[in-house]
Amino acid sequence: MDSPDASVLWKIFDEVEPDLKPKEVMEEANRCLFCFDAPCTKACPTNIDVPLFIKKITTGNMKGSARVIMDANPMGATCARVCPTEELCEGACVLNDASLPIMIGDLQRHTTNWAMKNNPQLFEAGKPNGKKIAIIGGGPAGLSSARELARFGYQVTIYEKHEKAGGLNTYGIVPFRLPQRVALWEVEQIEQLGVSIRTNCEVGKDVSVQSIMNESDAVILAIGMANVPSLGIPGEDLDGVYDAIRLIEKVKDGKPTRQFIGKKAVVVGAGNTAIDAATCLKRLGAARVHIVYRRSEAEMTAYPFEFRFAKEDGIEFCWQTQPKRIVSDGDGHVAKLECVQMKLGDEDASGRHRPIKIENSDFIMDADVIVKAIGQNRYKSLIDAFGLVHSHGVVTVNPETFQTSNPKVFAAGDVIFGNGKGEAMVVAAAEQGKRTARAIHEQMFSKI
Amino acid sequence: MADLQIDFAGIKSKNPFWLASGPPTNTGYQVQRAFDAGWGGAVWKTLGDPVINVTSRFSGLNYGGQRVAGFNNIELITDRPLEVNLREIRETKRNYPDHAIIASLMVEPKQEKWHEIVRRVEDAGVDGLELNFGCPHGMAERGMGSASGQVPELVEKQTYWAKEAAETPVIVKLTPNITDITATAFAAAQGGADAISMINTINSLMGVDLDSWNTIPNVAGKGTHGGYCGPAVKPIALSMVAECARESDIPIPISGIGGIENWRDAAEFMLMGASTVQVCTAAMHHGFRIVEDMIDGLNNYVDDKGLASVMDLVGQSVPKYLKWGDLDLNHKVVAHINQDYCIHCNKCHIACEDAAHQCIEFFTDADGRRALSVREEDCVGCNLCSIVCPAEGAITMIDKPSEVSMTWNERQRMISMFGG
Amino acid sequence: MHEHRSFLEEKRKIDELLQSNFHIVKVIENLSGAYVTMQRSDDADDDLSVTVHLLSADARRYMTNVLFAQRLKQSMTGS
Ligand SMILES: Cc1cc2nc3c(=O)[nH]c(=O)nc-3n(C[C@H](O)[C@H](O)[C@H](O)COP(=O)(O)OP(=O)(O)OC[C@H]3O[C@@H](n4cnc5c(N)ncnc54)[C@H](O)[C@@H]3O)c2cc1C
Ligand SMILES: Cc1cc2nc3c(=O)[nH]c(=O)nc-3n(C[C@H](O)[C@H](O)[C@H](O)COP(=O)(O)O)c2cc1C
Ligand code: SF4
Ligand code: SF4
Ligand code: SF4
Repeated sequence: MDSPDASVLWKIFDEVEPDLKPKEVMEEANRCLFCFDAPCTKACPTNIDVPLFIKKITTGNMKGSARVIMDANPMGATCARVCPTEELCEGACVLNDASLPIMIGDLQRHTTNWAMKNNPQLFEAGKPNGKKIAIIGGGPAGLSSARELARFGYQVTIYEKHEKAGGLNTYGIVPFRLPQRVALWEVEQIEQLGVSIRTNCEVGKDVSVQSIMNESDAVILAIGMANVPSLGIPGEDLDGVYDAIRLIEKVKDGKPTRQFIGKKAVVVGAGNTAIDAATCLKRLGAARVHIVYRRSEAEMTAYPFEFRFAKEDGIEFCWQTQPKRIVSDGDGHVAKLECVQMKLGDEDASGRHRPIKIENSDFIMDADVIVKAIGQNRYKSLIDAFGLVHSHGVVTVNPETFQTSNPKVFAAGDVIFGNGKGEAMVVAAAEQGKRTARAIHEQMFSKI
Repeated sequence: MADLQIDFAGIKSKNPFWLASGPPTNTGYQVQRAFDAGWGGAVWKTLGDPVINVTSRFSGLNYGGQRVAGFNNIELITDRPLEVNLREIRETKRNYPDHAIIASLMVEPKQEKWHEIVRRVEDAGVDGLELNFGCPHGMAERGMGSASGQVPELVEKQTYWAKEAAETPVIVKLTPNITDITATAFAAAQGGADAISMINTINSLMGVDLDSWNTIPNVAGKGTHGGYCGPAVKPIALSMVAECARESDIPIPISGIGGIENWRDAAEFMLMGASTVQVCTAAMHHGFRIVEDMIDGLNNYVDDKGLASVMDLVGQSVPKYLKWGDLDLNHKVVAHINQDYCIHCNKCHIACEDAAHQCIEFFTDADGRRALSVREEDCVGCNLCSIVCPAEGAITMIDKPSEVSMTWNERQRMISMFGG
Repeated sequence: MHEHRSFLEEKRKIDELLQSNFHIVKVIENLSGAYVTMQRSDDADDDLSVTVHLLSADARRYMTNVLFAQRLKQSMTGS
């Protein structure tokens, strides 16, 4: 790609996956067996009644279909696009062995697209019950709990440090998989229930922890995770070293840059963030994109569909490779990446093989751009400001009630993800948000 | 939220969805589960003189990979003791006072038999009675069911006997195994019926097994004709409902039955004059839970139409259902092929060529591709091409209304004035 | 094939007669189609009449529409 002009750049960031055509929708929906006690529903973390929403597509009851999805999952439109369906609902479909699993994700996308286009009112706020809840963080976890609480009649305020709510749906997951408008539509649905969202408002900076604690009957911490940690190798401060999340954020917010055209890029890490950053760079015009990962393909945490997507985009993978040093061109810019080859040793605490350096296997790769995608830091200082018990920044909660060490504070989403438990997924954050809301409601109103 | 409540000949129900008399309404356990799932009413499995059922009993017609396009059975009425059924009816009514329970009845065509059974079931607290004059097999061989339902005098007389004893509304369930359903519907009305319901099942033999040469279904290698129902019978049922609905001397409410699977089917029956609908096969195929989308979908539909109550749908399409001779001969419809949607299967061409009016022709488009278009002046607007076309939107039938209308009947009157 | 052509042909016959001031006086329809007898309607006292044989359905439909129009005109002119 030589010099893509703005409109071309825009085009390549359009959603990749085409919508199902009307005939496809009907054929696929009518193929669903309408199972009883369906395994697909059980495999969905939010328990969407899959056969029911599909049945409603076949009868043309699109509003009902949308209600079934969004009732169980306030992020239903996003999840239709970003869920690892082959590991969840579709993986559980009884037709896997008999023929082909139902394309549940695509049907869900069809229904939610209908809802986005027709915008029917799906839910209503409950009768005000006089209680106030503060939610810190307007990502999937915060939004889902807000939606449920509003339906129960709470007065809910979300504090969000970004200009727009939606969390990583709005700023993190690449637009060609999840357009920002989808995330913002879901935000709108929640605002329509009377939830007030204070954007550009960082708790701990623009508003104090103390005032939030004083003004609310309960607080939900749904701040997700922070920036990408440093690699801890020399040369990291050179010009040309980027944080994957920041990079994607720019693109997602409609500011594609020309600075990567023709560049040789190396992405470090092999999670979904690494893949998203790599495919983004490719679309921004990078000549070659490598992903280096210190373990093997089997240990990679990216979803299989993400991995396939990356390979289709021509991303090259260097397995069992660890960066050692970023080499400067003498002018303060990245020029090369020095790496070492790894082999796999014994299993570690997470059950994965520990990578071990192979002596004298060092080699050098040409690179103008290095992107770090090796996980995310935690907002430890904010968690400490709330005085919550945590382990390395992962807030400790009661797994049933999502209550933290301070009974007035609950936590859900990526902020409680980690230490080998669960997966950082939108659908998991949504379910936790929902369950937190129910737990709060139960505690506030069962005691009286 | 629209009002889905209905009043059917004085029987109140919170929605128009009733389970038809059949296996799903065999026991109190089942009917109570159905009410929990949302059904507004249930017509109990037919009660009457003791019978014994055979096994096997059912068979399904699969069509092109879809199961249960049609369904057939050789089951008779209930084979459980009347006392047990009455006890369960009583209990169900006690637990679900707001749901409609209708007792379906079938006895020999004798006055005292009708009086006896009517008194006993009404004593159990039912909201209404449905006289089963429809079962096409077994019972008919003993002069009951469709055997008596095919003779208008017997329909009238038995309805009259039931009415003599009844305090609750009497619904007469009609058999479709008759040339003109309005004859028996009229007889029921003459006998004093408060309402009619239709259709019961249609005479059928589902198939023959090509390996064993047994009938499908079979009982120890032998078979008998059964009753056909399920999605395939819907058009037959709908026309019978419409024919009765438009007849002014059948001035009683109609409960529509036959192939109803979802809210769309239900809405169609209601537009054609039914004020409740009954469902059997679909509940057997998918379970009671299908009623959730029936209620939800109908609700959204009535809302979308801007109506306050589902009763506002009842009969809206009846005035549009006429005799052939009252249709406009001047109205013209022509097929139009939308090249953007056509997938070039050529099925429309061959259908029109071999079975219609030879007016879908090939031409070469600007890109040198072979494509099809309709020679409008020869198109009779039969719809065949659009029926066979597999691509949504590829063929539209375009109305070419005329300024003046002329029906066959008007035309013949006019010609007769000129010696024709 | 091209049934429309036979319709146009039959319609042309009727239209020509109409143009020459003919009107329909008699219609006989049977298994062989419609026989439409037309007569001059102006003051010319030749009682010339012509019978047109119509076969196509469209022409027979057209002919009846002509009849209706003719009746309407007669009722308006009061003749
Ligand atoms: C690149 C990338 C790709 C991904 N792909 C997928 C995928 O394909 N499928 C999938 O299921 N998941 C995917 N995920 C994971 C998914 O996005 C997260 O698990 C999910 O967003 C977690 O939701 P959350 O609400 O807990 O946190 P977040 O979405 O991170 O939201 C937290 C919010 O809190 C706000 N916040 C933080 N601190 C403060 C403060 N002090 N004051 C006010 N507001 C604050 C943030 O601005 C943010 O809006 C991906 C993640 C990334 C980074
Ligand atoms: C297995 C079976 C048993 C039936 N038994 C009865 C019965 O006992 N009494 C009755 O009135 N109708 C009976 N029916 C007929 C149904 O009530 C209904 O009229 C018919 O099936 C058409 O509706 P459907 O297409 O929704 O099934 C039976 C139908 C089936 C399939
Ligand atoms: S398991 Fe598959 S076939 Fe069964 S209800 Fe779910 S999607 Fe449909
Ligand atoms: S509507 Fe009938 S006659 Fe007209 S093009 Fe189609 S098939 Fe041919
Ligand atoms: S049947 Fe439909 S899709 Fe096939 S050629 Fe005709 S118009 Fe095209």
